[in-house]
Amino acid sequence: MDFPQVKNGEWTYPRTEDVIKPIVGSPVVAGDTVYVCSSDGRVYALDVTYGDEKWRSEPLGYKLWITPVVEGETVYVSTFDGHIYALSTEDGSLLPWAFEAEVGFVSSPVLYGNTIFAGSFDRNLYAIKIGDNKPLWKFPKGKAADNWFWAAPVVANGVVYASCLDGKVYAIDSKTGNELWEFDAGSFIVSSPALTVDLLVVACDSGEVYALDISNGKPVNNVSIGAPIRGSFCIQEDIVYVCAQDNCLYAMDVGKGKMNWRFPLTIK
Amino acid sequence: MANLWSLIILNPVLNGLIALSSLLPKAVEFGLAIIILTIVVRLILTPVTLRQINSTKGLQSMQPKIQELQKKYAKNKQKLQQETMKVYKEAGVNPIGCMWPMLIQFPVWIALYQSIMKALATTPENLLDLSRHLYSWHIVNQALPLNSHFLWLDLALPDRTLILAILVGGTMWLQQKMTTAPSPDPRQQSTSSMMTLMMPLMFGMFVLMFPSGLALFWLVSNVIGIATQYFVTGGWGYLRPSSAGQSKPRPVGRRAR
Repeated sequence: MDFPQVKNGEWTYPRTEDVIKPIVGSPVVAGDTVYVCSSDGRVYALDVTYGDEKWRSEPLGYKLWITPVVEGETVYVSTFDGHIYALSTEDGSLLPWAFEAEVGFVSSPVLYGNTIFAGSFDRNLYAIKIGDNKPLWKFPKGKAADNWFWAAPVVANGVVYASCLDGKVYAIDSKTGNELWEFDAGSFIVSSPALTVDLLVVACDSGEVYALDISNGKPVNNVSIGAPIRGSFCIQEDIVYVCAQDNCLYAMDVGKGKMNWRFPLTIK
Repeated sequence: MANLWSLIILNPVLNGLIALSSLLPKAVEFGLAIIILTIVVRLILTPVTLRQINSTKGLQSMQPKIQELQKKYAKNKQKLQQETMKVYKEAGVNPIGCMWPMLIQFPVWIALYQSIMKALATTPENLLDLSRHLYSWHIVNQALPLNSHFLWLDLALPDRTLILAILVGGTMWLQQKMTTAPSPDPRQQSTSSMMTLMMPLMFGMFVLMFPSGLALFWLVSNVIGIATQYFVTGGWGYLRPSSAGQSKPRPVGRRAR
């Protein structure tokens, strides 16, 4: 039996027996194109309906384990060798502006206004204004954090919410890089946080999911699922959907501290 | 226990390896760092290695006498044991003296092995695991992620060209051949000949299965072992039958214990 089994209207890429190197980050859909990064260091642009390859970029460094950002006619990627590249959505060619840091970037980039935020191997979170050659700010301002800002931060209303592998979550002023508050979950945080209207949801490697008050970082409630959480999660109508390392999907109302259901994803 | 191992042995070796990489040219950083660290560790362990070689030589020089005793007291095990210990005592040789230097070296080799595997971090899970072991030193963090390419090798992947497998197997065979004394007992001789052949073949197979960074470490370690053996015993040891007589172990004194 061939794998994967494809129904009408579905597609796989590449269509030939060739394979590209592993895809670690998530694909991004913009208009009629899917943009995806591969461990071969290239960005691929594919037709969203048929899966045809529109273009593939030149290798951009060693590996691209990130989720790209697409804004207008530009694709932004952060690389392990410390670059932020801007590519044309038209043909994947490199645009004139690129940012070069001394140390590699470990997280995917996030764009807010005209500023890109990304975590670095030097244990700082960088804010880089598009077009500039120097970072707008680095966080923390003094001593570096105790580990990497592995997960991509989320930004809303001028505040950057960044989780760190040292177990802390920080709220940072997006313009100045000043810390607004921090919350110590006491466990590795691999996933990006997610926002509801007034809560910041944070999931930890210990299996705890916290709902924090976005104004002061104080925990409002929490749910424990007892299995490490490393993947990204989503929130729909205040219900958090989390896939944990025990191969189960969980739905919970973290704001109320209530687990709704658990669904095993293992195939029998 | 795992935390103690990481704190005392694994983390210092791992961070040392990565810090060393950051001081070397990017194109060959990790391959060269493995070679240098292996040499440094072997140099640090030289006194222990020399002690082990001397103890082994001492034991080998006792073999004719021990075999005589085995024949003489074949039916009296207790007497045989007493007489054997007496011979060892007179020669100033401790029969387990060649074991403990090996035991001291063992954790260091395991730490080197683990460090190479961890530092290469070929998957996101590996990279996350690596982050738990790193010091906050700038020199360590600026080196990441390491360039895994060295000569024709991707140090994170097995070498499919067979070159490294042949080199590792060949050097291991050479080293064993230099150190394994021929035995007058045909059964013992047959076992040691089999071991001399099987071990290199086994490691040759491992090279085809494990990341080539690890195989590079085995190769360098074997070459240093051969060089040490050559200079300490003053020749190729038991490799050439003609030279075996010349390199017969000298009588050992109390120092060999």
